Formats: sequence, structure tokens, C-alpha cells
Amino acid sequence: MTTPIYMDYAATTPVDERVAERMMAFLTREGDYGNPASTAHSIGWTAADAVEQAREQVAEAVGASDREIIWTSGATESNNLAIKGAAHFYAKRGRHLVSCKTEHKAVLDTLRQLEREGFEVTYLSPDANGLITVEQVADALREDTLLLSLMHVNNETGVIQDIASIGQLCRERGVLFHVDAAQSAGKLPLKLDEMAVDLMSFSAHKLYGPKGIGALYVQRRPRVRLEALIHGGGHERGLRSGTLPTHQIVGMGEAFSRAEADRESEQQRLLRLRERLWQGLQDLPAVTLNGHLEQRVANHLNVSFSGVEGDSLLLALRDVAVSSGSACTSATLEPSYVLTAMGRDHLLAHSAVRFSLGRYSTENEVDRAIEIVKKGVTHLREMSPLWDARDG
Amino acid sequence: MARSRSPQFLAHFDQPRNVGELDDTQEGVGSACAGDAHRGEHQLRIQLYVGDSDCIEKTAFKAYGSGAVIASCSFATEWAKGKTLAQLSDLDAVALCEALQLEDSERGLAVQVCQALNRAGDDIEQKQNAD
Repeated sequence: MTTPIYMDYAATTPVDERVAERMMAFLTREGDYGNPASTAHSIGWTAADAVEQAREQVAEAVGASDREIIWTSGATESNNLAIKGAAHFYAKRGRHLVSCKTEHKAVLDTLRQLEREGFEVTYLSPDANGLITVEQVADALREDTLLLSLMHVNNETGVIQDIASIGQLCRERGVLFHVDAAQSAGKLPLKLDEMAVDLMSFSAHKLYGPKGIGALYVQRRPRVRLEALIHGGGHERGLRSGTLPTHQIVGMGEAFSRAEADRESEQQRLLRLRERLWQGLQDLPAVTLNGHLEQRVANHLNVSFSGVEGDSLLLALRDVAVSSGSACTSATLEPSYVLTAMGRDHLLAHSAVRFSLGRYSTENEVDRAIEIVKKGVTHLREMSPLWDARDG
Repeated sequence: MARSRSPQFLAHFDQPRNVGELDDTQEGVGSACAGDAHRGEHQLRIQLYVGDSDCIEKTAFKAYGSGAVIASCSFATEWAKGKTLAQLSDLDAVALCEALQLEDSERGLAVQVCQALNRAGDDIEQKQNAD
């Protein structure tokens, strides 16, 4: 078994070999290297056809029409385009937006920028399980609210928000609904033609596609309008100018198509692995699950280990590639803002580790990771004054 | 987490020396604490024991915090063995940072550990003077 054991699939995934092979066919002189915008010759047409085929693959995987998929550089750009684009286009309709404190920074920092421009944002606090209720959203929406932005699956906890009910509420109240689906695509069924969602952000590298490519779903019926962020050529129906990276796009199309085809069986397999991991970790005392036990994606586990601190824990677990939402500066320890917003006390938030499993995770890897975690946590607790205080 | 750590750092982190506790009521034992985890800080306690030889014979520490805090406490308490109380100030943050190849941003932690080591020595002297 090679180390470190990779259990950080929520951060990124390796590119599927079949995806990489398809991408290679659009790079070199022997391949289809043309510019999809070159309409005057067949080399360009071939590239354009590949781009459109990939668009259909992504659209089919998420239950949308291909005309509703806009290529971007990733979920961060998709979030920026959706939120700023809608806010700027519909600014006359209202200048109030609603979101949640546990959103990804790609959403929170975008909203902060809009606040600097004079927009007003309400940030909802999730409950202790990380969930937002329809009632909370209903209370926060105002006459001048133009958009709600809520992630489908939280990147730190794996908790799934009830976007079906919340979307329905937004429809009834005439509020645009943007969903960051970077962590849910390929894991949960997405049928955008049946969902009350106006804008949805996607990323390729979270499901065995390449980094640097993403997409934004922009609903056509009823039509959602956006003001572009990037100008220069009018690509992507004027919403996102710039030469299309054909190899990245075909990689995303292939990755989405394959992920959707294997989704149900793969999620069942990952659920069994995650339960094995969770069972094993619970042999340790004072272990706390962060986020709702059931309302979470199959591959995600976020656990706090009382009495130890995140930075030293990651060092002790360096043979397992996991992540922590905590940040360590010179003198103070900054706990995960997501767990803090869920009401976790600072010490528990400091000791949180996110395990995210994926396509190449095995039972042997899970068993070995459990051993490493037990050894590391016990080692740190032996020297922790906080653990002594708990015992005493 | 820092990208890479020196072999010296990892040796002290993986197999820390002197983890434990000395009886603070015993003659010759001095203690010092630093930081408060409940306020988002590292938290540590260093203890020293001076016997009849006037040299530090035993040391102990407990620490909650980053790997750098743990490795620093291990190094400092190991370094202190055999030293006199007057020699404790010879270990400063610069020397500690060099020994473990700590990052610049960890200088503050090294200062904290060195100060705790010295205050543990001061505690012994104060108790001796009180007697």
C-alpha cells in the first residue's frame, strides 16, 4: 500500500485514465488541436463538435439542456459569474441577497465584494447538524431579495441541504436560486429539468476530470439573465469570453458522463467504506461526528477528536492525506469557520479532520487509516493537558 | 500544516521526550504554564526538578497545540537536563528555532516555550527562597 493513503477526494481527485486519454486527443499536432471558434475550416469545426458533444454529456449528467451549460474555469468562476452576474443584471429589482455562513469561500468572498459595492447580504446560521431550514430561508427573504445562494453539499461536512424545498420557496417568492454543486455532482442525482434551481455551479476536478474547467447551468425557461464578468469575443453566448480549452472541456464531459453512469453503485460502495471507517474510529473515546448523520453524501466523514489540535493531528496522521478546516498562525489557532458556524465549541472545531473517500479507496486503506488515526490521537492525548483535565 | 519538517523536528514530535508530570508539591520542583486553549491559544506546562546537585535532574511537559509546540517542549525539556538554573537563559528562541528548523512564523511559539522554561526555573528559586 502506498502512503500517504489518499482520503482527500473532496479536495480533488486524480484524473480518470480514460478521461486523460480523451483529453490527449485534443492537444498535439496529430490530434484535434483546433480553436473551436475557427469557423472557416474543418480543424476548427472538429474542435467545436467536440466541445458541443461534451456540453451534451454534462447537460445529460445533470438533467439539463445543453443550451443551459456555460463553460468556465471552475466552480469558483461559476459562483462568481452566477452571483455577481445576477446581482449586476437585476440590481434594479433589489439589492438584497441571502446565503449561509458555511458556504465555500468562493461564494462568501464574492458576496463580500458585492457588499463593498453596496449590496446587502443576509448570512443564515445553520443548525448544529449544518442544515438550513425552509423556514429560516422564508424568514430571511424580503421584497428586495434578488438571489439566494446555497451550496448543495458542504465541502467540509458533506451535509446535504434540502435544495428541492428551498428552491420551491424561492420560485414562489420570485427570488433567483443559485446552488454551488461542486461537491454534489456525480454523487447525488441531479435533474435540473425538474428542480427549482436557476443557476448551478460545477467543477470537473471533483469527479475525476481535469482541474481548471467548470460549468455554470443557467436556466432558460424561465430565462435567467446575467451580466458577464469577462469580455472579449462573445464566446458562450456572450456570458464568458475567451478561447475554449477543448481538451479541458472534453475531459469534463467524459468525466461527468462516466461519473453519472457509475454513480449509484459507486455511492453504495463508498457508503460501506465510510461506515467501516466510522465504526473503526469510534473505538477511540470522545470522538464526535460533525454534521448530520444521515443527511450527508456517502464519501464524507468529518470527525472531531477531543483533546487534540488540528495541526498536530494532521502531522501525526501524515501517512493519511486528509484535511482540516483549521488554520494555524504563529500564536493563535483558528478553528474551521464552518464548524464554528454550526455551534461547535472552538476546541472541538480545532480537532476536526475531514476524511473523504473516492473511487480508488479500498477496505485495506480504510483499515490502515483507522490504525494510524488511533495511534496518532492516542499519542497526542497522552501529552495533552486538555485530555488530562477531561479525565480529572 | 508546514510542508516539510526537519528530521530533528520529527524526532521530537514523533517520540517526544519527557512527556508527563512531576509532583509540584515535591521540594525542588518548579512549574510554569503558558497559553490558554479555551482562548484559541496553544497551552503548555513545563516542569523542572533540581536535586542536591543543583543541576536539573528531571523535566516534564504537557502540551496542546501545533506540532511545533510539542517538538519545542520536547527539545527544551531535554536540553535543560543537567543544566543549572542560571544556565536556562542560554536557550533562546533563536537557538530553539535553529535546532528544530522552525518556520519564521513559529518564532513566537519558541519564545513562549523558552519563557516557560525560565519561569519554571524561577518557580524553583522562589520556593527555595521562601523556605
